[in-house]
Amino acid sequence: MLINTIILFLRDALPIFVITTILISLLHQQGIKQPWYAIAVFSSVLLSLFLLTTIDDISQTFDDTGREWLYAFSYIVCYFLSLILLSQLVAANGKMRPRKYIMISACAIALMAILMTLNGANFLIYITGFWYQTNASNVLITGVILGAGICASIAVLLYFFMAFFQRYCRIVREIFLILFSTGLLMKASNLLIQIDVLPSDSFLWDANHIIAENAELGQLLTAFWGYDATPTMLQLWLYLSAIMLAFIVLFRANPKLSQGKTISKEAV
Amino acid sequence: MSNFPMPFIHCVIMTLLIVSFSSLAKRPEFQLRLNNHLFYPAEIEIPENTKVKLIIHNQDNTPEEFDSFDLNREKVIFPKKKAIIFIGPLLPGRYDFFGEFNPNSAQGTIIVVPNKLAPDNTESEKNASKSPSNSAVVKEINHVN
Repeated sequence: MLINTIILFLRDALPIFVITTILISLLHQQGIKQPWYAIAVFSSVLLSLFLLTTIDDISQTFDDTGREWLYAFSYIVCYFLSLILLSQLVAANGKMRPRKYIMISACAIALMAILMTLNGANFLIYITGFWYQTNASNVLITGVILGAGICASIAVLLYFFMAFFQRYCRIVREIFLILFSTGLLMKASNLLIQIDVLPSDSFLWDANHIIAENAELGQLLTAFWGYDATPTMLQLWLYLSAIMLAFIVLFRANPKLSQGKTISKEAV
Repeated sequence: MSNFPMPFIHCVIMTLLIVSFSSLAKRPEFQLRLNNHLFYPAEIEIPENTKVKLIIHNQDNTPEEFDSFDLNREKVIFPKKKAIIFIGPLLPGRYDFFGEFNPNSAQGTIIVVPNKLAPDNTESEKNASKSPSNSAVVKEINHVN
């Protein structure tokens, strides 16, 4: 149960740590300090608990597909929130007006709160389901502590990785956010295929023999940019289109980016 | 953000209309039961190149998450509730699945067989609602050992 708790914690918490690191890094670059994060954490804790108590009923709606609809819709909202956030951040270019400041903070809070709520509720289903089993609570707590340690280590590495590569690629943080949010669209497409809303053709390829989805690297890539070892043609088309749309938004918001100029005056 | 051009919106509407037709089709149904963290039957045969509806009943008092890397599916099943997953179309072969909350005990396999050999899906429903199938018993014995 200990190993299983760590694996499940990593699956649900790692995407939260990754997006937190990317957003903190991006917003810090623009001189926006951390209070937005406290609001996001507080609201998502409350929303997770609310979702935990209602998810059972939500699941039974729409012919037992309510949970997929909720999660898929939320992931799609997160993708568009990321696009708005990116365009606002890039357009601000270090000159932060109050209206833009509020807009960026609101997008970051909403993005964080939605993801933390969905993933938090997922993990709470497991924790609350097995808490009262004999000796389970100690194992669950140990698993959570170990999992949190691993996630925190990856988050710190990611933060310094992005800071280091800033010298070579000015939009490294933006690229990470684009890949992460496109990964959320992939999750949404998987959920919609699962409930037969989107057509599921045969898999285009099976990359499990190169990077297995259930291996450590596979899980890491899934958390970072929605790696899928067995995508369908529709998913591939969706993934590429979403990345292209994000880059169009990015470069239209600040055409100087395509000429390799800096985004912000403030170096990290 | 700039306004989206009308052709783009038409394309989105058309795509949604086309894909929504896929959900109108009636799919063959197969039933699975989860009892004492074991899947019954532990092996289900489904026809090749056919999308099927898998209905999983969780008879335990704890939640379980149906998970399969082979099938690319993941779904939480709440205690004493059922969950629906669509799988396929698949090529002949074996596709493993497991319960993510109890991966050591809750294991099973979807066996995709050529259409000529595909079983009547009502058999599967009977097996799921009555006693554990032979394969499920074998799985249970293996697990105990």
